[in-house]
Amino acid sequence: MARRTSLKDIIMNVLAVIVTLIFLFPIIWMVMCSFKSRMDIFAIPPKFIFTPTLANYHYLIERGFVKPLTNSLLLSVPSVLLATIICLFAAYSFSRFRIPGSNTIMFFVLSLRMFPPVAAVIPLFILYRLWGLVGTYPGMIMTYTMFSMPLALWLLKGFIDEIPKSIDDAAKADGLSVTSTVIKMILPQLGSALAATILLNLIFIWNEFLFIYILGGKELVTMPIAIYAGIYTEKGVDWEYVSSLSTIHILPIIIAAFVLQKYLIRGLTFGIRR
Amino acid sequence: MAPGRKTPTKLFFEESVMKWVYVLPMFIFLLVVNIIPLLWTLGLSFYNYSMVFTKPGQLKFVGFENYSELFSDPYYWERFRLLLIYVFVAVSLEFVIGVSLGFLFSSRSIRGARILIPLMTTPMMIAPVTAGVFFRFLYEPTWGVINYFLYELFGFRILFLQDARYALISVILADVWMWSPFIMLMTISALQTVPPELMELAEIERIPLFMKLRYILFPYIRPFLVLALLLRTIDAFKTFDLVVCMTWGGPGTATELLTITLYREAFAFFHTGFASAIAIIFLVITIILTSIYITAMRRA
Repeated sequence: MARRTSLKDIIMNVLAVIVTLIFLFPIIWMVMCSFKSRMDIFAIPPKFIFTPTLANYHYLIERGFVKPLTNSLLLSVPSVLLATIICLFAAYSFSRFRIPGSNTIMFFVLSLRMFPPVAAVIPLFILYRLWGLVGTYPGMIMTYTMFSMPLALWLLKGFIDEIPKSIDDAAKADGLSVTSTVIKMILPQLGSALAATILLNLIFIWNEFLFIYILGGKELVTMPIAIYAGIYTEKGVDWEYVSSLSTIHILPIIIAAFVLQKYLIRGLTFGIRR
Repeated sequence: MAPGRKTPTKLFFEESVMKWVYVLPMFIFLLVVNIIPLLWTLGLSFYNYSMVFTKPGQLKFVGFENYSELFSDPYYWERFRLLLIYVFVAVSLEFVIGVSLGFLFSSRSIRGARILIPLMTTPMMIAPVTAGVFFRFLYEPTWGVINYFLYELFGFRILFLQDARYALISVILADVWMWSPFIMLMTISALQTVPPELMELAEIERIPLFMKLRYILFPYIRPFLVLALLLRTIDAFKTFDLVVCMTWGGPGTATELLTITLYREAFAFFHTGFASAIAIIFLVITIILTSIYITAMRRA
């Protein structure tokens, strides 16, 4: 029996589209502003139709955004890869072998992600100053590796738990060592789940503000720090700068939102299966 | 046995060693970047220490003085109360909006949910810093788009971020914008776990809507919603970037949540020992909420 389109269906669809537009409006509006001329940004009434210009992006290049962009990449990629490799093996160990106190350890690791960063950063700052790590790449990579671990460990353990143990047994029967089992048998099974884990952590660091703000010193400027600096300049908010920079900052995120749909719930809840 | 193959005893030995080798790197990281710093914080919370002003040899053990100062000064209670208000209002609004949207978007009538739902999830993926920028554009007193319409339609403007009466709710609304879609997503997933036969049966039996919600849907979606609420509560307690980028705690102390106070004490006034005591309070809250979360997760 084919469902006919009723009035209720139409209303529901219109409502859903309106809601989506309301939620997208803040993003759309700012992206629009990034293509406006200075005059048009400040226009009263606000201009919905305008001649687009790249002036703000030229200005952005002039002020330099390559450094924050490369810093964001230089910090996030190594940290996430390191955390993923470390946690892949740790998760395998937690999943397959009996480790005393493993529940407590898993709990402790998760609470890391739940602890307010502003509280966690105080002792780190004191110790990093002592160790000469403030404002250095190794110091930041160490921090980000640590704070990528909760998600990596919890998600990977969940995913590995779902891989049948018979695979391990078959590998064992073939005389594969434990390490080769993880690399040759488990890793290929993880596939897109591993990619999702990596991507979620990349987004986390791409967006991270507080650790880099306090531990990064003056030199290590990432994208969020550059945006923050654009908000609080001597002359107030530098609208042209923050609008174009924020647009570049959210571009990869919007793509990721589509790619990650399947894993989003799992990633955000640390392992709930839908 | 073919050469190169391992005997069972050798394998057993390898496993019992390797399981520790695999977790070792993580333990080292935990120790250096986490356990030592946390113990350091705990220790410092009992000292009159400032990372700038304390000279070697001046460090003084003060026992619970930092804590008693924290608990006796109404200023810090007020900051804590503000944080609780923030968490409560933000999470409640997100819950109501999120659950309603979840029902809307799970409706069978909706076409193109595949495109609309990912679009709805973008706000929670973007950085709080960027979200702050978005809302600064919208809230701008003179040329901001919201104030323009307010003025045209009702003849007044609101200084969203500059007026102490509205600053907190304005920041909360940005949080609601970011995170309602998360509750929505959880609701959609939860509704997918309800067996369709059950709903059809309810349809045939003409069970009233309220009864359907209470006795058929609710038991299925409750575990998801509990998790969503807990996770949002935990996250809302961490709020920092969003407030920093919109008001920096101002005007006055209108949006100075305890997290902002903690930053000020530690990195503006350099009351390191005192700030450590606040950090320990946060640690206790985190541990309680996280254990509740894990219990709820095991049940789900």
